[in-house]
Amino acid sequence: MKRIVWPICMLIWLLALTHAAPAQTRERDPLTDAEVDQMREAADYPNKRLELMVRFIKERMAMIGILRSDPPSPTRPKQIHDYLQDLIALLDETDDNIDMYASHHSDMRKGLKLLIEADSEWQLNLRQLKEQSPPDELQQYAFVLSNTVDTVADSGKNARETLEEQNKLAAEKKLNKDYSERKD
Amino acid sequence: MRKIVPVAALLFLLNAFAQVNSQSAAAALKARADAAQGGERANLSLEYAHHQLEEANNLYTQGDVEKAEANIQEVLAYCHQSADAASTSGKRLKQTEIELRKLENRMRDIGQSLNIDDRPPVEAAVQELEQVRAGLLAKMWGDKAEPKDKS
Repeated sequence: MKRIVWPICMLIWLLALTHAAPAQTRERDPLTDAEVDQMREAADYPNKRLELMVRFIKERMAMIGILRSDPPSPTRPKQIHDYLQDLIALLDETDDNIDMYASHHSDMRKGLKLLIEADSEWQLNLRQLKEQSPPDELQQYAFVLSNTVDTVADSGKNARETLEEQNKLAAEKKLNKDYSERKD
Repeated sequence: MRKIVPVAALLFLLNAFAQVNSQSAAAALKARADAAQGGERANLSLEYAHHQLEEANNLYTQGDVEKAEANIQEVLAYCHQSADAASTSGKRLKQTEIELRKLENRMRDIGQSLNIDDRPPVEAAVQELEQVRAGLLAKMWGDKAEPKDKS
């Protein structure tokens, strides 16, 4: 009988833990304070800002890779879910930045090329995550993963279209090197 | 017999644990959706709606129609919340519309698998989702925009 008491106690403890989870809800910020500072400092330099965004996204993607290589844990699906949510937020932020700089004819061709190159790599990473995740884990982040895949594809398309427009503007010498040079 | 009782108790507890764990994950997701803002609120609300829709399908399969219909209402509430968050913030409008269309199609499929008597609330919910989507399309493309796959 003693042998059954221990697992039951463990189950009760696990139940208590899962009930406590909703109380830990808080709004997530996808960027750290240090990253926000770097973004602010690069506000007048579109290429630098895009370079930073690409780096931040790559770091989240790398964190997912590290989590996948770690031994399975009950918190891993939730952590992957949160990193995917951060990726969506960062990709949206990147697109907003591209639209803003494009509307002011700020030159960001270098940053756009970086983004386009990274986009293919991210698509591959996400496909591997989908194919190699254990089914019971995948179930817990399948929805947000599908959203992330769509967002990466949209972001890549937006970057390609903007780069094409910027190349035309550059040929006509209508691009500003820095955002602070804008004429409005 | 003395061995069977503890094993049965353990199996019962494991089953209860799995159910509570799933409900707890849904409750946590709901709380996060309610607390989030902007595009994240739109995303999380839709994720929760998607989860509740699958739960409603399970409840219909188990014959618990009353609870299933309550879940369908919860799905609608969180689809509205998602669309409102996307419209207000101007973020994730296109993605929210696409995900709503997928959810609407899934709900229509679930409705068609039910007994005729159980279908009207699901069909009404599908119509309401159509309106939510139309609102988002109007926000993106102007008032003349209509869902193309109206049925």
